[in-house]
Amino acid sequence: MIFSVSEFVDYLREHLRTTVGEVEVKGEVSGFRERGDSLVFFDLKDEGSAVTCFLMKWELKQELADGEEIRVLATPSLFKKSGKFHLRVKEIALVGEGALAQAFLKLKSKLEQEGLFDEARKRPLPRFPERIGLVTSADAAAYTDVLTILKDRSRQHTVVFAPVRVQGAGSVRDIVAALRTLNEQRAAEVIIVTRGGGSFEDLQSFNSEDVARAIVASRIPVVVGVGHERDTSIADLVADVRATTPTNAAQLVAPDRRELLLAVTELSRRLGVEADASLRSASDRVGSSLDRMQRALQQPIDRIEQLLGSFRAAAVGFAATPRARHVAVDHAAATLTERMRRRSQEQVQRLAHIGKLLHALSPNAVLARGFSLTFDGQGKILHDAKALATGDHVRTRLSKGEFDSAVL
Amino acid sequence: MTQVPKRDFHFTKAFEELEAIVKEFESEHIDLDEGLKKFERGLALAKQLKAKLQDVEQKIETIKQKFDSDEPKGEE
Repeated sequence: MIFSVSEFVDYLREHLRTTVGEVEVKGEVSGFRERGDSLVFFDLKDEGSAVTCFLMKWELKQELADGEEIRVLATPSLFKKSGKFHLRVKEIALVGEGALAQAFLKLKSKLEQEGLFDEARKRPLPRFPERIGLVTSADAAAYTDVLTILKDRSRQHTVVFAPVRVQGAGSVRDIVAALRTLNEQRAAEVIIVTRGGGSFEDLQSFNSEDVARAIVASRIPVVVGVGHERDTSIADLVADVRATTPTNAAQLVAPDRRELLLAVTELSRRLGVEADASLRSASDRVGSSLDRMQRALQQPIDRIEQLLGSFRAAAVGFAATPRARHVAVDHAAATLTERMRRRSQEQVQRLAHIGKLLHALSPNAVLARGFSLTFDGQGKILHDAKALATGDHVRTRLSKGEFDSAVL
Repeated sequence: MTQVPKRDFHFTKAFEELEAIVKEFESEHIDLDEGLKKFERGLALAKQLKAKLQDVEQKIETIKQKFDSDEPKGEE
């Protein structure tokens, strides 16, 4: 088979893509250069060889300088036009503690100046989340730790697990994609991003600008727990809530259902106490209204009786005078009696009306709703259990009937 | 899109409603009939919340994530 040049280049490109795929290559930067607005080129070399590398300018997250030792995640390929071999770079990681520490400090101060660590920017976590996003590796101890803690503490819940690599090549991309997917799908109410301890180099993904910005961009609050307590990553600093360890992250996200149970019990106890007090004050108000109405009723009744008394006396006196014979005594008496009768009737109607009002407010109406009244030995209403001693006899009045009992 | 499913009982809302009822009883002068209704509502909420807190199932869903495939055409 004879290829044309284009066919041969295409053939090799396809071959490299399918058989080699992504590789990690470590070496020294040399001949760093920018081409146009969007491309960056450099050579990656060691004592024995060199290979051309390129990436998009916006993909370059840190400054690169000749002589720096780096590790790239890349796919090998040939340029279509020139047929020249190159590495298409996807990720760059600095190699060596010194370089890493320097990059860490640089990024930290940059993000700090942007205000990304400000407490004011950070959101509170939902109080009782039912869907919890988990971004970590299925192989990590962190995964098991988080699930165990959640299972123990939380009531019914769903862990929405986004498996990612937590170190090395591809981990930054994984974590960023996981955060984006959880957000796009609105799959959780809170997200835990976590991994266990490791060397400074192991934790690099959590010091990457991309991961930091993905956490900031998340609309769902994010809890980050990376490494041990002493480790502080950039991801920790931009998180809405920072956990010290994976276990701690799970604890911060899920309130303990046993504590919640106690809280609910306490709330219902307080509700009982307060409701009791409110009902008692309402009942006192009914009592005082009754007293006032009774007093108000007594006045007209007294007046009627007084009036009737004086009328009777006057009638008797009048009938006894000699002049009475000349007057239509009977007629006058009848008129007066009729007037009195009408007045009494009016009063009776008023009484009936007030009686209805009284009934609506009466303790009996309250009793009919299932409340009861308890009286002490003197027939006084009991308000406070402290007033009772063992052996005291009390009487309880229900809507229908009463019963006596003794205090245990 | 995997939306958070709608639930017939919303734990957070129920808990917050119970807290609000207790607060109301503690701070305000409550009408007898209204108070009785709120009291009963509070007790019902507490009962439901307690039942929910006994429920301890853990479900795990694994999501597939999408990666950007943005291959630029670069050449020197």
